[in-house]
This record gives sequence, C-alpha cells and structure tokens, in this order.
Amino acid sequence: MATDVRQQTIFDDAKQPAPAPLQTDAFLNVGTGAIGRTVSTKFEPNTSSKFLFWLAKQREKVGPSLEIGNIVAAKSDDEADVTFGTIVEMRAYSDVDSFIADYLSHNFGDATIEVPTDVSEVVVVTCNVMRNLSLKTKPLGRSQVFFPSEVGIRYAYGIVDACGQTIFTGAAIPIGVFENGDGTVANVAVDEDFVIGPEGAHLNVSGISGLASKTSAVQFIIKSLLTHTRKSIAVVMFNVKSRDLLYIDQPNSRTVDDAWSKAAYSKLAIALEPFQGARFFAPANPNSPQGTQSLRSLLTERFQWDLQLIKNDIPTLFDADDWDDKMEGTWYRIREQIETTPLITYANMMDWIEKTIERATSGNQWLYGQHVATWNKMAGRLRSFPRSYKGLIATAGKGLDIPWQNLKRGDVYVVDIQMLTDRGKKLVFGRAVRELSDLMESEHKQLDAVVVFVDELNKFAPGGNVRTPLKSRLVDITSRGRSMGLVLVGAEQFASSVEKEIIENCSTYLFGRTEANELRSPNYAAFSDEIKTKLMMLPQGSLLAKFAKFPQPIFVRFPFPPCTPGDQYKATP
Amino acid sequence: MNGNVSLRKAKEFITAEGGEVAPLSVTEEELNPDVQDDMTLHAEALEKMDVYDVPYEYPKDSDCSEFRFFEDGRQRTIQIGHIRAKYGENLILIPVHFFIVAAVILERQEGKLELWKGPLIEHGILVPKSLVPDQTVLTEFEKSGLAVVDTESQSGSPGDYYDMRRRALRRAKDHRLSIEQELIRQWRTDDRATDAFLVVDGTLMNMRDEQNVERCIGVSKSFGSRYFEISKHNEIMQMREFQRSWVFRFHGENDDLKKGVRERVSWYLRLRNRHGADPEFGLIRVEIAKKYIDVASERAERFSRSLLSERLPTAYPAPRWDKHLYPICGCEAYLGSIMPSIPTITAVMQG
Repeated sequence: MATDVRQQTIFDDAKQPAPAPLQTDAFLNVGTGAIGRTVSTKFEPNTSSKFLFWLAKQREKVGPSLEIGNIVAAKSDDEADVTFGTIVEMRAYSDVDSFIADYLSHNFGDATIEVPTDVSEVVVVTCNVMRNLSLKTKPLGRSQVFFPSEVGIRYAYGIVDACGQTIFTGAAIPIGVFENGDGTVANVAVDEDFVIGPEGAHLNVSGISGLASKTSAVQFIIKSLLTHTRKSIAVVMFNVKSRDLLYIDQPNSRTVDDAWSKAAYSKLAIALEPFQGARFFAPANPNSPQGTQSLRSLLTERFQWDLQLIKNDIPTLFDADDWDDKMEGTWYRIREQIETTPLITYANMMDWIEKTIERATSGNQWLYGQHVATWNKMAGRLRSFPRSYKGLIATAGKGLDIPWQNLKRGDVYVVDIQMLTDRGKKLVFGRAVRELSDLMESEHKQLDAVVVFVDELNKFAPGGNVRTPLKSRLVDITSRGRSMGLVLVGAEQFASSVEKEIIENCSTYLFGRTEANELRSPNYAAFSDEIKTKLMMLPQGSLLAKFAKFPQPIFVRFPFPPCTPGDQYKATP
Repeated sequence: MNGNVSLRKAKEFITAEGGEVAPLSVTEEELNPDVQDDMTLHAEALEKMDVYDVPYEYPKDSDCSEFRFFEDGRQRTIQIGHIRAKYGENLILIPVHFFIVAAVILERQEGKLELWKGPLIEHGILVPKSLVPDQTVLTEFEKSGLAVVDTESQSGSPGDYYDMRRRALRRAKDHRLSIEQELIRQWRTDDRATDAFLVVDGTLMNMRDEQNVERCIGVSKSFGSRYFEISKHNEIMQMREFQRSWVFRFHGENDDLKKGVRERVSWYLRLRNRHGADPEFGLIRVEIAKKYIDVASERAERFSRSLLSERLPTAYPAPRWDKHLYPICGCEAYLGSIMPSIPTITAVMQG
C-alpha cells in the first residue's frame, strides 16, 4: 500500500466538508473575450504586487471603456489561477525611438503628411494586484486578461471567497456599486464589524465642497447601515451648516425620478425612504423661549442647559488664553459653592459671585485666596456666556437637554448647530460626545453602537500641534471607540486639515473630488498619479473608497440620498 | 515541439553523445555576415539607359501604395557545443549547431499591420550525421522529435571543423529560404491575396519556383556588385530622390538562358536624399518576375510609386533605415520576438 508522505498538519483533524469552489471561468466575463495578455520585461518585470498587460488589438472595442480604477482578471495559461488587479496606469507606446525619429517619419517635419502604415502602437496597462484564487503571494506568469464577472469583482475586493460565499464576519453594508469597463456592475459592501466595531470603526469622507457629494454619500451610507446592520444602533447627526440635514425625514423626489438611483437602491436592497421618525433638536430661541433657532420649518425640539447641566462644561467655554491657574482656582471655589449652597440657576451663581466681589475692600483685595481682579475677570466672562452661547445657557428656570438616554435602536437624532458660533458648535458637539461616551460606557446600555456624524470635522479636530479637550476626546474615541460602540463619521474638505490620528484610525475612508494641492499631502501618497488625476476630475456621485479589508481602493458610485437635501426642501402649501 | 523543448533536447543529445555543451555568445550569422545581393550577374537593359522621374507627386501621393502584403524570413544559427569523434585514425571535433528559421507575411489593413497567417518556424540541430559517434543515440533523439539536419559534405574534407561550421550556416540559410518559399506558395494560393503583390525583403534570385515569384516584389538594400560600366553605374549612384534607373533583366552569369534559368527584371530606385549622405543613401534595387519583361517600364513606374509611398514612416533608427521599409521592419520585429534570444539559448544550455 502506498504510504501517504504528506506532512500532517494541525488542521487535519479539523477538516470540515467545504463548499466546492466556483469554476475559474465563473470569475471572468468570458463573453467579452480576452482583452490582453500579461507582459513582463527585463526592465519592468511583473511582481507579486504589480503586473502589466498589453491591450489586445480589439481595443477599439474595449479601449474607450477601459480606464483607471477598472478591475481586470488575469487567467494563467495553465488555467490554474486567476489574479485580479486594479488599473493604476495606462501608457501608450509606439516603436518610435525618439522625437527625432517621429519627426523624420513625417518626412522631416511635415505635420500634414499621410502615410500608408500606422506606426505600431501598444497600450500597456499597469495593475496593482488585489487578490488571486490561489491566495499565494507570487509574481504573475503568462496569462490572458479578461474583465472579471460580478462575482470576480466581489472576490477581488475580499467580499466573497472562492466559493462565492461572503467572508465578512459582520453584516455586509453596501456603500455603492462598482461599474467596470465592460459594464459589469457589482455591489460594493463593507464589513459591519469594521464600520461600527468591534474589529474596526469610523468612517471619513473628504472632498471639495459642493462637488464631492460628501453629505449625500454619508446619508446614503447611514441609510444602508440602518437597513443592513444586524446590531442595535442609533444615529446622531450634527447639522453644522445651512439646512444640510434638516429635512432628512422628507422624501427626495430627485431620487425617485432618477432611474439609475432607483435601480441602485433596489440592487442594494435598501428601501428608498427617508429617515422616518428622525428627531430634530436645536438651541432654544432667546426671543421665544418655547421655540428654537433652527432653520427647519417642521417640528424641532429645543434644548437649553441650566447651571446644573452646564456646570461641568463651563471651563471649556473660556478662551485658552484666559484659563490660567488663577482662573481655575477661582472656578474651583465657585463650583464648590454651586454644590454646597446649592446654587440652582445661572443667575443664582452670578448673584453669589457679585456679592462675593462686593465684600472686597481697599484693605482686603483677596477673596478665597484669589485677588479680586481675578474674580472680576471671572464674573465678566461668565456674564458674557449666555450672550455669546446664544440660546444654549438658561440663566433662569429649568434647562432641557437632548434626551440621550432615550436613544434606542434605529433612532436618528439631528442636532442643528449651524446658527452657533464655532465655540458654540464645539460646546454642543463636545457635550454630546461626552454624554454619548458615558451612555455607551454605562453598564445598562441597550445599544451596540451610536454613529455620530459631523461635517467640517477639521473645526472640531484640526490637524497640527494644537491640543484641545475636544480634539483629545475625539482622538480617544477613534482609537478606542470601536470597542465601546461610539462611531465617528466625519466629513471635511481636506483630510490633511484633520488630526492625523483620527484619519488613521478610520477603517473606511471615502475620497470625493479633491484639489491638486491637497493631493500632494501624505494622505494620498499611496495613490498613483493617474488615480490622483482621476480624483481631481471625479464626477459627483462617485467616490474612491478605501476600506480596511479591501486590498486596493475602489471607485464606487452611489445613488442620490433617500432624503431631501435641506436646500431643496419646499414646504407643502 | 516548441523551441525551448528543442533546445533542451539538443543539450541532452550533446551530453548523450559524450560531447561538451559550450554555447557561443554570437550567432554564425553575426560571425559571417553575407551580402545577400552580392552575386555575379549578367545584366541587359530593357529600355534606354537613363534615369527617370517616377510619376510620384509628394505629398499628394504619400499614401498611394498598392501593397498590402510584406514578407521576411530570419534565421539564427548558434554553435551550442561539440562532440569528439573518430574519423579514420584521427580524432575530430564535430560542432553542434542549434538553428531556428522563421518566415512571416504581414498584411496591412486600414493602415495597421497584422499577421496574414501564423508564421512558419522550424528549429533543430545541425550536425554531419554520419560522423556522430553513437548512431543509436542519434536515431533515438530523432524519433523523440528533435529535428536533426545533416550537414554532411559530399566533397572537400568532411572532418574540417571550420568547414562544418560554414556548412551549418549554409544549411540553415537553405532551410530559411525553403520555408519562405513555402509560405509564399501558401500566400499566392490564398483567395484574399488574388491579384495582390507581395513585397519581399531581399533578392528574388533565391527563389526557384517561378510561380511563387510572379507576384513578388523583391527589395534589396545592400549591393556589392556593379552590373554596368562605371559611368552608367555612377549615374545610378547620383540619382535624385524619386528617380529610378533604367529597367534591366539579369540572370546568373554562368546560367544558360536556354535551360530556363532564373531571370529577373530589376531597377534601382532612390527613396530619399540627404545632403552630405553617401551615394547609396536611400537607394534600393527592386526585382520582379521575368514575365513582366514586355511591360517592364510600365511596371517599374507603377511599383516605384508604391515603394516611394512606403518610404514613410521611416524605420529610424533601424540599421539602414534610409532604405528600410517600415512594414518589412515590422516583419523583422515580429520574427525577432518569436525566436529565442542568444541569452535564452545560452541560459538553457548552461542551466
């Protein structure tokens, strides 16, 4: 009897009957036929991370549709393996050795001359290797190149395995569709476990304002997340400018009228419905105590903080230049008084401070260990806060906070802060993040995750050496938020203007149309010049998606958002 | 059997015969460049011995070529080792050559060149069979598919090492010409090529099949012989751009016309001028079949117009680019791409 000489492995005992892998051709668009052959030269060899192929002469047929970002599949000549690659560069070569040779070819510089034979030309395409069926890291051998089938595209992105089965540990969250050069359309999804934890978390979108469709993309992705997640999640959005998010509970007629968008929602199994039941919050209107300052014309709930709600945040209201040891000491004494007296309202606090200052005499300028000048400075600043944080601070009466404790599965809160100054925005956002952190760290939490979306993230967590409590908190959230279930979805024009650590901690990154200057920053160093060029011209509705589990970035197209963009909302008469 | 398998078998053959695998780094063709047109000929003018302006109007006629098909052949012969053998009382060294010969026809369609049909390729080894010491081994290798071409000499000194090398080169050339003629035979019987002409790189004098030659235009770029008296030849050397020489018929000097020897109609044509260039710059010699003797002048004008149109694009910086036709250059590039390079041959032999 023949002896099995295979070395036993630790996996031998754990063998389970596995589903049969798909046939090699199932990963290819065989109908279109081979579009080229791989080529490796002395000076440009194929490697395990890159391969080149020339475009077949039928390129007149496929050439115009093939472009940077397309995916191709190289089937080895022995048909044993298929390697998938994304196109990062296309070069057109001729056999013209030099400019002078071409000049001579045209009869020493006759630009109008017509010649009987076209100079031989070849288009050479460079691809970054994404994945192969053998799952081995090796240079590509001689292969025919095809467009991949839909399952081929999904395999290339690590969404499915060789049997066509999804290999995500969490639910697949569609973020759009990928349209390949041959017209094949494939759903592009990210792994829930890498979007809202626990394996990874956070999403960032960057791109030029007005052209990159950042808000639309986020609205669509959050809708997708709420639709497909298997976890218990709630969403909190901050409306930082104009009416951007103020009508997300209203249907978008443009989406309904757009055939492509409708088809995309259907293909991605997402109901074309707005965020029904979303709740809207805005700071109280000082001139109308029961009203809000929101630009939203439909129901909006007010919030305003009394002393008890705001007392922990008061130090953050000061300018960094004002807040020194003396001021901190003075505030410490005031804080003590708030707890012991107790001082209930903001007005009570101001009264007590003014009375304390009145006690100072020419012989005794020191009050509770601090000079009266410091007390005066403190009083002046505290007096100004209700004005400068318009509507946020209730000087008398009971305050009303956003009901964070009531957040439950599927809830969407929109907090309108567009009317506030930058400081006010930071206050509201910072408080919300703290409240949500507390909520998610409490023992009785009912949610797996809360997704927090904020535009203009660079205002809250600017890049560079400036450290603020809010920035530190955001860095902390992005570094450990995946385990506690607090997920940051940020958007900004320039990724380079946001704290580097925050960007690096995001497992999903979406790039919209981006300016040339921005593309020179290190965030884009891994992209080829051609990818950068494409980013500069990216049409609205398309994004370049980088995801922790994708072997290469992918260009995705997404439909119009399911809800009305704020500036397009028209009240029904 | 593909070229690499053939190479490996060739190596095994040398080893099995007790020989030594020792590939040279240059081909026999490079060591012995031959001037293919350098033959002794008898020439006779078919029209007044003058130079003529070709009715070619530049740039209007720059793409007026009627040619669609272009042919070229290529050979590569390299000594890959040697075998020790007894020849009478003497010990001799038998050189073993690997050869690969190929021919191709390109067809131009809408300005683009493509293969008219797959190329013809042959490869194998060249040895004087009877001198190989172990005939059984030789037979076994032949049976296994290794093509062995005999370079046995019918005269001279069979054991002469240098003579054997020269014979190997000649046999490779014979082989190349043979597959070129076979390819042309296939082409002339192709329905798509009916009435078309085939531009062939080099002289047509090597072709024995007159039917093959009938629709061929031979274009020679190098010439080492003078067929006319010095003063007339100088007129040819001083022709201007777009001028042709008188048409003449020629045949091998020792051939007897009455016995149906190969005879061709020919003329010189100046494709381009350049100030300060040598007298042969842009000068080609064209050959067509003898059946056109009666209409030689008319054919010379017609084909010259097409050839002048073929001067662009140039094949610069190819050697002799001034007289190289771009489509022929395409044939050469194609053949070069399908033949194993010297480093490949050397690597297989040493690997």
